[in-house]
Amino acid sequence: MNTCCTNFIKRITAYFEAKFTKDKDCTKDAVNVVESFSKAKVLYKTLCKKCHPDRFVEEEKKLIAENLFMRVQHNRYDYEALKCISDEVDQSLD
Amino acid sequence: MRLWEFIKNIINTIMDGSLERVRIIRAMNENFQESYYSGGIDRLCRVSIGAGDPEFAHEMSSMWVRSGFRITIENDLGLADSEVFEISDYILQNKSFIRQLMALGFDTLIVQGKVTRRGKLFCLKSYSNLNEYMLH
Repeated sequence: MNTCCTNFIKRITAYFEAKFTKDKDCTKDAVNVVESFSKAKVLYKTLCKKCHPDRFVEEEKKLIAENLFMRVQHNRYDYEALKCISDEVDQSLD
Repeated sequence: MRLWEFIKNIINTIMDGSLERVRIIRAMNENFQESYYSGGIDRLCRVSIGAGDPEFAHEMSSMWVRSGFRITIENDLGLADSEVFEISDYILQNKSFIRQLMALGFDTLIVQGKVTRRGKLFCLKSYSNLNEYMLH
């Protein structure tokens, strides 16, 4: 009887552990929301300055900057998206 | 049916979505605390489950007492409306997060101060772009 109870408790514990450590991370978006709240504003302002189309004279770079600037405006509340755009800005405009 | 399978089914039925809710709320609270301690944000926010507005209900809503996704601002001295809207914007502009909240049974976003109780309620389904798929 005693071992039966122990086994049952073990199985219940293992079941909840497995449920809590799922492979698919469901908190990704939630964490991004909080990170956006604390960090997106600064990154947004930096990116606006970096890729403002008026900074560029060459037509080709101006077009790239316009595209990036629009994407920055569209994703101003999304830190993850702004980080990706920041990498692109560094690659294509520097 | 084996006893273990039967118990697992009961647990799944009772806890349906609850563990995911708990994980999301815990992760957000931890991150809000870290950001506040490190100086990233000036208002300390705490996320919890509250009563939603029955008028904002949709097909996936939980019972109204647990359908509100509440963000309480702990240090709410001099809290301006613009700050409430700014906090809500970070959630309402994230479409995938709104859909996740709706799938977990939330229908109302509540942003309010802890002491002043000043705040605002937002209907999640209005921001999810799912209107043509919703019955009401």
